[in-house]
Amino acid sequence: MNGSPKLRLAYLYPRLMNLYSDAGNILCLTKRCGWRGIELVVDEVDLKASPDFRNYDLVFLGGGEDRQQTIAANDLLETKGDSLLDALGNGLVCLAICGGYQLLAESYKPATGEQLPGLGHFKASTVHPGPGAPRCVGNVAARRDNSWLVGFENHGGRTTLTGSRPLASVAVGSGNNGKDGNEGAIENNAFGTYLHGSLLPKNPDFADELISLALLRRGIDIKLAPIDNTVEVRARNALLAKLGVAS
Amino acid sequence: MLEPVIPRLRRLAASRINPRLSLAIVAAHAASAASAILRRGGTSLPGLVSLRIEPDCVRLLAGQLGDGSIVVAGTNGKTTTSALIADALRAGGKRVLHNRAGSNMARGIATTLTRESGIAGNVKAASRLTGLFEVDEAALPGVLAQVTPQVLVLTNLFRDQLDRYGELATTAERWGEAIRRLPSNTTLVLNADDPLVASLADSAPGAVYHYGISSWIGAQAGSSLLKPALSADSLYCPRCATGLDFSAIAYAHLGQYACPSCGFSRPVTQLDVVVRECDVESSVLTYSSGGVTSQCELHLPGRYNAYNAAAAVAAAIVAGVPLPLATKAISGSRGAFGRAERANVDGHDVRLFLIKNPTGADEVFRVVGAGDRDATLVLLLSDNAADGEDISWIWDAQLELLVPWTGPVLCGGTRAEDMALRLKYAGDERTSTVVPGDVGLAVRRAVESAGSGKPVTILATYTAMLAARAVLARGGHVEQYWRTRK
Repeated sequence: MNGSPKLRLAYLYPRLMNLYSDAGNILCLTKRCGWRGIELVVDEVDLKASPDFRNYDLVFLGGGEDRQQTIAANDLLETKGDSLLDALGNGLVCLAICGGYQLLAESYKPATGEQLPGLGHFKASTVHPGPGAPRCVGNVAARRDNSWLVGFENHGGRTTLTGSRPLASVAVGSGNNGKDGNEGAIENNAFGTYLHGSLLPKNPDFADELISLALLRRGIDIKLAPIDNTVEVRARNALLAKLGVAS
Repeated sequence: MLEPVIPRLRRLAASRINPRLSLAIVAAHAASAASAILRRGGTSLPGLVSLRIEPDCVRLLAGQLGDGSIVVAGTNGKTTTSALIADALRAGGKRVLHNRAGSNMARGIATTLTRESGIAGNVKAASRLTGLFEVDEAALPGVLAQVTPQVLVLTNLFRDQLDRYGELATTAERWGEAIRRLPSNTTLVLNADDPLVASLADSAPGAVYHYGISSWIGAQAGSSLLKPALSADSLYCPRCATGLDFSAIAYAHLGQYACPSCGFSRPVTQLDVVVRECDVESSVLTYSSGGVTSQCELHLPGRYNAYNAAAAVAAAIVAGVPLPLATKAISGSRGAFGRAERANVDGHDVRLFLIKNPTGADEVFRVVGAGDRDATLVLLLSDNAADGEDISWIWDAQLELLVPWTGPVLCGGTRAEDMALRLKYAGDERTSTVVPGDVGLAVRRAVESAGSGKPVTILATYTAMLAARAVLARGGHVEQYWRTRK
């Protein structure tokens, strides 16, 4: 390895799909790379752009309003679909949140109107039970292996996994659908989730996992230099305590 | 308390007076008296009680106001804008019945109206009164079904408490539906610089009066930005969803815009404002309307207050106050509670700012960042119902603007730890002190630990602001808020 490693991240629809402060995740990845001498180059990929996703190490897609999500959904399938689906199939590291998670799954049935096709990377499908149905809103604590993921969810659609593995198991909150206890989805190196918050700053181990996966895919198998996570862990534990879950 | 009232109610029932309305007013007065005994603010309970008894009480009472009503709604600045309108109306010789800050749902308006009403169901001296009601975004359609305003002022729409209000487009749609049901003698006063708000003119059955800020002159005014922040909301055409072209942006998505596809663009304004200076203390604004021009100082900080002043002057003009009278009144105004308030506490100059969403917070950061950076900075983040349970907005707010701060930083509120985390990622290398939970404790500690005579700047979400203010009020440094408004 020559010089400091460099990773490229494609930030999809940064203005259209940034409803719930999901940009905090990009900030978190940038900082945690930078603190280790890794340069994270962030390319904003907007409507109509058709980049070659093989050139990227990471891709990020956040949540948007219904109207904006529809615009993004059409654009995603028309101008980015094939290249992105292909790259995800080849292990492109991806974090997709809320609306972004729904778009990368098989289908989305909105509150009113026809079912919309998704990209189909996640083996999961989403149904909005109708305009009168309560939204899933609130703080979430979910168990992932031996640790926790915490965040805030706000979604109308209910997602059911049809083949992908769940990301985590809900302890407090609704997660994918409020019924089966699943939160999010994993397919190859792509992670879908309903957690805003922003998600990554309060879940630094998960942020580091994404960075490690991206490096590994480049053939850089290094143990990331440790970072003092006192402030991150304190925020996560405070929320766990508030939710009555022991950290 | 109700005993001696019953015979009177019987008599009223025999007359043409609505006995349910009378009972609602009596009950509201009783609730208000009970609140006073309990030393609570009591801004919503009386209204809640009266609405239970007579669901139409707001319509029945507001309809009596001889000079009509002005309703003010928008995400940011409605309390300050309303306070400025009240000053301008009074300068124009009008008597104003104004709901108190923090009670901007239907029940708060009911509290205001019943307080000024007699048992016969009459608003006292109604013929000479103008109603002035600031209204919560979500509550606006319901309030407009009860209060038919002479003037409806809509200031801006920013993302705010998505867990409570839902999405912006939904709010705008509900507003549009409510506006279409208004009579043609209601004048809409709209911010021309906010695309979504300006587009509500399409729904207006009556006249529309647009106000806007056409230019920012001078280095202190802050050069207008060309690239909208990621947190900016209305960057797409409200008519055809094409990306808007902005030629100038004051902040967030407020500015000069045009749709390249359908031709929708910033409308011609009836009140034009030019900002000549704008800093942490004040602004100098030139207002022009109908060939009349007036230049005045505004003793409120920041670009957002220039917009509040523009909205207030526009509303006052439509309500019949001449431009020079309105601008003069506003230049003497000191704003509203919890918004850029100032107190001297044991020799410390303490300033209190409300922050509640990314756009408003960014403007406050710009204002305080331009001030004394040696001050102790207190950031209070809470997630009670009135604050919004979702605190993720702090990741959209540009805390980076505060990183050049040199004084000590203290984080408090129910989510103090999250604020400290946000500061770490904003690039603040120092560890901020975290005092979670009791806001009063955090404020007292900040004031006590500030160096002799050093200023303290407090930025707080809604409930944290109330708690911080209560600490200052207990020391006699600011008035208790339910007494600040008459």
